[in-house]
This record gives sequence, C-alpha cells and structure tokens, in this order.
Amino acid sequence: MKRTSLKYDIIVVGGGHAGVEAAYAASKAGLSIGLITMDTNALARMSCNPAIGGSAKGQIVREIDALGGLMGETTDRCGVQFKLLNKSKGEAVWSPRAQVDKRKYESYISAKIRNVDSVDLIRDEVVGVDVVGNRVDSCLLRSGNTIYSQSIIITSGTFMDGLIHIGDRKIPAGRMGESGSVGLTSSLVSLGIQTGRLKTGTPPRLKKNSVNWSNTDIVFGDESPTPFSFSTKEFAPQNIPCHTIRTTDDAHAIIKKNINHSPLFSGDIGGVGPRYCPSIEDKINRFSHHSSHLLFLEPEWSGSDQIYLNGFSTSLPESVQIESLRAIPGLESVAFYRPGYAIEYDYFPPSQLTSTLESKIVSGLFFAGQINGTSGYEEAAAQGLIAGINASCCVKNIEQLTLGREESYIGVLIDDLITKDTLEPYRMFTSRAEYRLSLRYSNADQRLFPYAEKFGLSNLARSSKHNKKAQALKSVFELLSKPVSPGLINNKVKEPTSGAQLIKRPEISLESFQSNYFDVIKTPFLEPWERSELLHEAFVSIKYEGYIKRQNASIQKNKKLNLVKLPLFLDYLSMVGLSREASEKLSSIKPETLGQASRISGVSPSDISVLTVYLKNK
Amino acid sequence: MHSKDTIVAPSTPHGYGGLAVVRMSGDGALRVANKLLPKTNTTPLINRFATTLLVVTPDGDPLDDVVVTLFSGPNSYTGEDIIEISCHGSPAIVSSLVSFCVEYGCRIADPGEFTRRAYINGKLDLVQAESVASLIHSRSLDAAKLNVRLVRGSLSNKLVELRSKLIKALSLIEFELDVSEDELDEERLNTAFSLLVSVREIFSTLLKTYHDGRIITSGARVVLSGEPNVGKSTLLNALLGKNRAITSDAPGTTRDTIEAYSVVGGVPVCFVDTAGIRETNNAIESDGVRRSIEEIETSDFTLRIIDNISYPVDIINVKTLVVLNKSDLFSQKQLKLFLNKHNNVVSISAIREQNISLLENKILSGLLNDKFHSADIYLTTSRQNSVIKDCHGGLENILSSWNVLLATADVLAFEIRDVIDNLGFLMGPTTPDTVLDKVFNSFCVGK
Repeated sequence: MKRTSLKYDIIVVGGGHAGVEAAYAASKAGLSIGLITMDTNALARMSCNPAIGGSAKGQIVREIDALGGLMGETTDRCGVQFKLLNKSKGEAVWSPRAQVDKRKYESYISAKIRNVDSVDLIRDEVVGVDVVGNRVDSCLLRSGNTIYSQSIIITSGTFMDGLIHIGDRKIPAGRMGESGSVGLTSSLVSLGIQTGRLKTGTPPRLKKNSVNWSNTDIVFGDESPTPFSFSTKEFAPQNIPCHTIRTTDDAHAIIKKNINHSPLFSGDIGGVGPRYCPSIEDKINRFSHHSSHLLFLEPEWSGSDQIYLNGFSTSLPESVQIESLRAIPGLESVAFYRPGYAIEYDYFPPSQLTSTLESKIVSGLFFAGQINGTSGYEEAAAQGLIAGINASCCVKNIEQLTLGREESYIGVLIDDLITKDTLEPYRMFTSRAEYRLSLRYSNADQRLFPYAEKFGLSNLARSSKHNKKAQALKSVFELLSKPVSPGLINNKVKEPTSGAQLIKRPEISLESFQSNYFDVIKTPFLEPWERSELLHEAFVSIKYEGYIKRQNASIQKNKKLNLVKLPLFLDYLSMVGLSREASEKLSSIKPETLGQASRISGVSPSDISVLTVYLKNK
Repeated sequence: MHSKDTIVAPSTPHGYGGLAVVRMSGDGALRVANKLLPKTNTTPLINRFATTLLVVTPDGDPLDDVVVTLFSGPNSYTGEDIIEISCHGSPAIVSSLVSFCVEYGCRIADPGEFTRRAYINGKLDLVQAESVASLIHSRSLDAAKLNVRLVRGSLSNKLVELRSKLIKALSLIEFELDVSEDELDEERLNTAFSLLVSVREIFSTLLKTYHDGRIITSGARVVLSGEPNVGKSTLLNALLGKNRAITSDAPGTTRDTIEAYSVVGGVPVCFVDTAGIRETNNAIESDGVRRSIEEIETSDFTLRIIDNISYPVDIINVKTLVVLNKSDLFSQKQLKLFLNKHNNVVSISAIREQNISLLENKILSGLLNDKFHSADIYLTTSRQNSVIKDCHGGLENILSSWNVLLATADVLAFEIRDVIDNLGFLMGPTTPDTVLDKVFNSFCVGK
C-alpha cells in the first residue's frame, strides 16, 4: 500500500481479472484510481483452471492485447505450454491456448499494477455505494472509511454472498479459503439494481505424488508455440506436458450411488450452473451412455505439487470424490489438497447495463466480470478493460467506447450480455459470433488497434510497429495480385495466374508457395512468428473474401439499426402494435438502439417495424 | 400485440342475411361488450360460453337479441380477449353495433388485422397467416381443403421438422468447432451429411409440389385458341354450362379476349377465349390476335381447337392440347382414322356438348403433375417457392462440395447457417442460442 486518500477519480471494487484490467486501462487516462480488494496479495488470481485462451477465448485475449490490456503479455510470460486449437478446422476458428503458471501470473500482474503510480491498492471491503441524484458519489468501506469518487467499477466476482457447497456442507465464502463479501448487494439493490443467483463449480486439486503417473497419457503443446501478445519478443516458452486419464464404470457406479448427496441433485443449490461446464455427476447422469469420460491432470504452476483435475468439477461430498477417483487406475491412492466444490453467488443481470457497461439507472457506476453473469478469466478481463476505458471517459465526460459485433468478440460478448436473458453463466463460443469468419485471432490488432490509439491505450512503439505491419500486409496483397511465376508455386499452373486467384483454389495452401516467394516482403520489425502470422492472415483474408462479402449486407443492415437510438424511457407498454412479450421485454431491458432491441429474444422483426414507424411519427 | 387498442369489425359480408357476426379483439373487448348490455343485466359473460342477451343503444333502448361469446386471451384466435356477437343479419343492426363499440372505445379494424394480431402474438406463423387470406378467397373445395391444412400448420410443421434437422446438422459441426479439441470426427460428420441429404430430398419434393399447389389455390389460366370460327366460344359456353360468350357463324366474332371462371375437377380455372388467330387487316381484330398470342404464352394450358382433320397437329407441346371440334361433321371412319394417327387429340362436339367431361379430365391432367391429395403438403405461394428454392440450392452447393468444405469447417457452418437463415424468411429467425442449446443438450461438453 503506497498511500490512501479519501478521494479518487475512479474506484475499482475487486482485484480479479476484471478489476486489474479496469484499473490498468483507466490509469492510462491519467486519472487517480483506488483499487479496493479484500486481499491485496490475491490480484488476478486464477481461481479455477490453470489455462488461458482456447476456442473463442483465445481470440478475446488477442483483442484485449490489441486494446492494451494485461492478459496477453502476462500469459506469454507465464505460460508453460502453448497450443493453437482447431488447426484442422478452418482458419477463422484457430484459437490460441496456454497452460499457465498460476503463481507467476499473479505475481507478474501484481508487480505491473504496483508499478503504476496512479493506482493505489487498498485492503478493505466495500459494503455500500452512495449516490447523489442518480450519479455515484462514494463508497463505504468495512473499516468505516468513506471514499469519494466520480466513477465506481464493481468487479467483485463470486464474492457477493458466496456460498460454497461440498455435499451437504455449506461454507459462506468468496472462494475456498477466502471470505465472501456481505452488504454490497443490498446496498446496490436499494439503488434499484436487480440481483440474481448463479452457480459454478471447480474440480479437486490432487497431490502430485499421490498419482501413479505411469497410468496416464501424456500431452504436450505445439512445438512452435503461438503467443497472445502483439508485443511479445523472443518468445521461447516451456512446454510442460499435461496428462490424461479416463473415468471407469466403477467410478461412475460410486457417483451414481451417491448422487443424492450432490447439492445439484438434492435441490440444495437454487442457482443455475453452466451447461458447457457440467459437473461430473451431471455428465454421468445426462450422458449415461458414455462409459467413460476424459480427465486432464494439469499442473497449477511450474514444478507444482498441486494438480488440477480438469473435467471432474463436482460438489459431491469429499469422501465420495475420493472414493470414486480411487476406482480409476492410476488414482488408486489419490489424495487431495482440496476437494472440488460448487459455489453460489449473487450476480447483477447485465441487461441493466448500457453497451459501455455503465448502469442505466446510476451514472458513473460500472459493472464488469463474473458479477455480470459471465464465467471465464478472459470474459472477465475483457469486460474489466472496457469498463476501465469507459469509466475514465465518464469522468472526463467524453464519448465512451462501444465495440460492434462485427468487429470483435468483445462486442459480441457485451451485446449478448445486455440483450439476452442470463439463464446460466455466460461463456464465449465462436458460434455466438455471426461474423465469425472475420473475427480471427490473427487480425485482432487490425480490427481494434484504431480504438487503442483513439482512447490512449497504445504507446509510440506499438503505434509505429502497427503502422509498419499494416504497410507490410498491403505489400503482401500487392505481391499476391500479380501473376506467380511457375517456379515459385509447387502446384502446376498452366496460364499466368495471380497468387490471389490461386489461393482461392481449395488445393492451394500457404505451403504451396515456395519459401522464397515472399522474400521481397521485408519485415525486420516483426518476430518470426509474427511474420508467418502476417502471411497467414493475408492468405485467409483472400481465401474467405467471398464469404465475408456475403456477410457484409447483413453487417450494413445491422449497423443502420444500431445507429437508431431509442430513448431510455419509452413507454413500450402503451405502444400499439407490439406483441405482449416484446413490450414487456423492451420495457424491462430498455435497449439503447434499435439494433439492441432487435436482438432481444421475443422481439420479432414485426416489432422492430412497429418501433421504426413509431420513431418516424414521433 | 398491445391490446390496449381494441379493434372491432363485422366478420360477415355486408348485406341482409339470417345472421351477422361482429367481432372485437383486445383488452377492452369485455368492457365494451358489457357496455352494450342493459345496466340491469346480471348474466356474466363466461369464457367460451355462448350467452343469449339483449343489446341496447347508448340511450338504453333495446337494439337486438344477440348471442355473445367471450374467448379469453391468450387462448383465442388473436391471443387477446375476443368478443363475438351474433346478431340478426341486418346492415342497420350491424353498423349500429359497430358504431356503439367505437363510441365505447374500440377502433375499426384494418383489413386483415385480426390475423395480423394472431401472427404478432405467435398464434400463427407467417405461412399460416398468409394461408388464412387464401382460405377466405378459396374458389374451390379442394383449394379450401388445402388452405385449411396450411392454416392448421401442415407446411409449417414440416418446415419446423426440416429446420430442426438443419440445426442438428449445424450443432454437430459447431461441436467440432467450439468444443472438441480432437481432429474432425468422421462419424459426426457423416451424421451431419446424411441429415443434410435427407433435408435436401424433402426440399426437392416440396419444390415439385409448387406447380400443383399454385394451380389448386390460385387457379389456372386456360386459353382457347384456334382459327376463326372453329367454335372456341361455343366450347367456352359448353365448359361453363351457360351462354357466356357471344357466338355466331361469322368468323372473327370474338375480337377481344373474354375471361370466365369455372371449377374443373376441383381446380379453379379461368378460361380465356381469344380472338381467332388469322391474317387480318381489321385493326381491332389484329390487336386481338396479338393479345391471343400473348395469352397463350402466359397461360398454364392451351386448348388448340381445330375443326379440320387435315390440320397439321404436330405443333403441339406439353402445355397444349389439340381439340377436334365439330366431331359430328365427320364420319365415324374418318374420325377413327384421324384419332388413331394422333392419339393425343380429343374429339368433341361443343354444340352438342359431347365428350366435354373427357376434355375436362384431359385439361385437369394437363394442369396438374399429380393427382391432388388434400392430405399432402403443397407449396402454394411464390414466396414459399423461392425461399425453398434458395434453401435447396444452398444445400446442393454444400453437399456437392462437401469434401472441400471439410477442410474449412468454419465455412461449412457458415453455409449451413445461411440455409437456416433463408428458411427464417418463412418461419422467423433462428438465433445462435438455438444452436448452442442443441450442442449442450446433445453432447457431453466440457473437459
């Protein structure tokens, strides 16, 4: 702790992945930031799996990096195994992922944040938010202090009235071993903010020496690893393996026998859990025709004696967890550092937010991360970053940043959050992005760097490199527009054909071009991985050109709808011509634009025409 | 639909009759109905009960004894509260009832507004809603039967089934893209492929029904053409069973086209009697000839009428039937010889009304590809046809370049989604959530 004062431009509540990105982004605007956390030694803690990235999430991390966030560079520094997923499934879904050393990750980010002069770390607990008019004014701390601020970003994760379940044991907590936070929810409710309850879970952590490793299969990462950050230099990470093991009939039988001891089945847990990350009891119950499920044994840090058992999320009693795992060859004498558990927590339905993550009813109040009903470090970090950028715009009273669905996964994420019902914790999937073909990991900087510059999130070195890279990409396109001499292409070409035309043929890959074909493109400012990614990016954008053109009509239509602003307090209930469901949904969500309205479930195209006519006649 | 706005309209045609029906829909329907009743009325209106009641003018004078039925929303045609008043069929009573309803706060319904509200409130889908109008305007029993099936959702149900197969196929691919970390799973891809093949087959069957579906519901245009004075107008009269066209012995009597409606074997047919085709200097007549040729080109079927067995009949095409009129003028032997040589010529005598029903059967089989079964599902509008055509074409492309597309499963998913989006023009949009739901429900996801 450097110092505390009673006044900051921005207060960030919580020091998880959303909180640190928010504070870091806001600090770039030259504002003073107070980051209040219950444990200043647990910044950016990876409380669940020891991995960052993966399908859709990898793209998000690239986007965070393009906007100057911390997650990409930190993962590159702390990763112990890197893999580009989906390499055989089409370039638009190629997604980088890394196994990460959790301890290193925490300390890297902690050092980053502590090095920023304008961010103060405050060890305390926020128990209330006060407003003047409809604008935030201050927050009240457990210690009794009051801190004044023009903007407050709530990023309190699963800590709000958190309740851990292990069998029928219930422990009030924020995470295992960390106490929860009580009081803030009711304070926010008194301001008119609605709340709900969600649930998530985590698997047991095993003692490394209790596993018979000879019974496991070994999985390494890629030999030529793909980093996350556009700034990473001299990238040569470790390649520590993970191991896999399969559940057995015997293990399933033990779980089935004890299934009524799981709070998920006994009805003890009211919150809704994520279907994409089912507990082992859920998997066995719903997919009883699968005789075996794959489990991953992942080291939590480099040289870790603690193993994360990915695929075995559970809230069964600890004794049942142990008993069933011991029925798996290789785990006969398994011992835990801690059991798997489920946690229920308060969230604030994000349809109460604008597309900049600001509350629609309390100005200056922002929400980001798991309390918005999302799951995942990447989703949380992305929201934190956007909330941090926008809170600083809010303080400076300048236009805030809204990213479009057509330009980023982060845009899809936030737009989905504010227009869709949260039925379970929200996780990003590539199929949520209707313009997926253009949202590639390899063009995240091209898509978002202009915003980084506009909002002061970049620096001179980055800008200059970005411009040189853009120039190089242009040269690649120019080269490819010219006929390829037959000696430079491995496939037979009868008549003079441009590189671009060749690329559109299904049998042509980047490897079809002789290695010296691209020699005329000089890129001394790029790392080797960056250069090959640049060529790859040129290749893909030509290959997908036709499909992307087909998307554009819909993008244009969407953009038009997004430009039509809706007053926040329209009387939808008395508007003639809307379906009953639409008028109810619209008056509860209060969309900001016609585009958002059109994406609310229950609002049909005919309701949108009614709104259009209404706005014209107004 | 926001039912703050309560609408009213007579549901039966204008004119005198035994009964007439006035209908209201909206939140205010029940309140307005109670205002029509005398202040002393104690009989409550019960959902789906027909109640005999006296309705009074705003001054309290008796107007008519009527039957009032309440259909409470959302289980009503429009999904809102509906009041139906069956009154005596006098235009004066009907218009008074409607104007009192307006006085009590209703608005006169726009044309088709009851059905539009049913659509907006999700009681009917687009295919069903457009069939309601066709049903009302059905000109034959078979057309009505077909439209009833469409209103009841036979086509919609089929499309729902096809859409869910497409979503299943897409979810198999999305599982590969979003969840699975292994190489593409051949078995899953094969399942997707066969699902798409089965949907393509049904699309192609549906497309084949459009011709007949259109003819049955919208009716057909059948042109009577031929040299002057071969008896086209006489035949038209015989087909209609009444003297519709003026006939005479002088060639060139019909100088303009004449249209007349009839029902042939359940198909509504518009017969078009044309001016005889011949070289003429008469300006009016030659204009008629030009129109005749146009009519033939745009019609569904042409009857080429001849009255001379030396006529060269080899010009016929599938859309044309050669009809030898005035069969009574030839000897049996001459006729037999001619008909043996030209087995697709029908011989009739229009003036004696001989072989007219045989001719009708031939017209019917010329118009329809298959025998009409009201139980089958037909495409009936050009919108349905063009949407299904696009979907079919999309699937054709996907299936024919399957192996290439497998190298880029993201593009494959894009193409399948495109087909589903196209189908959305008939059924409303499919969101990414629908697909993800399918992925979560069908597969064991998550490490």
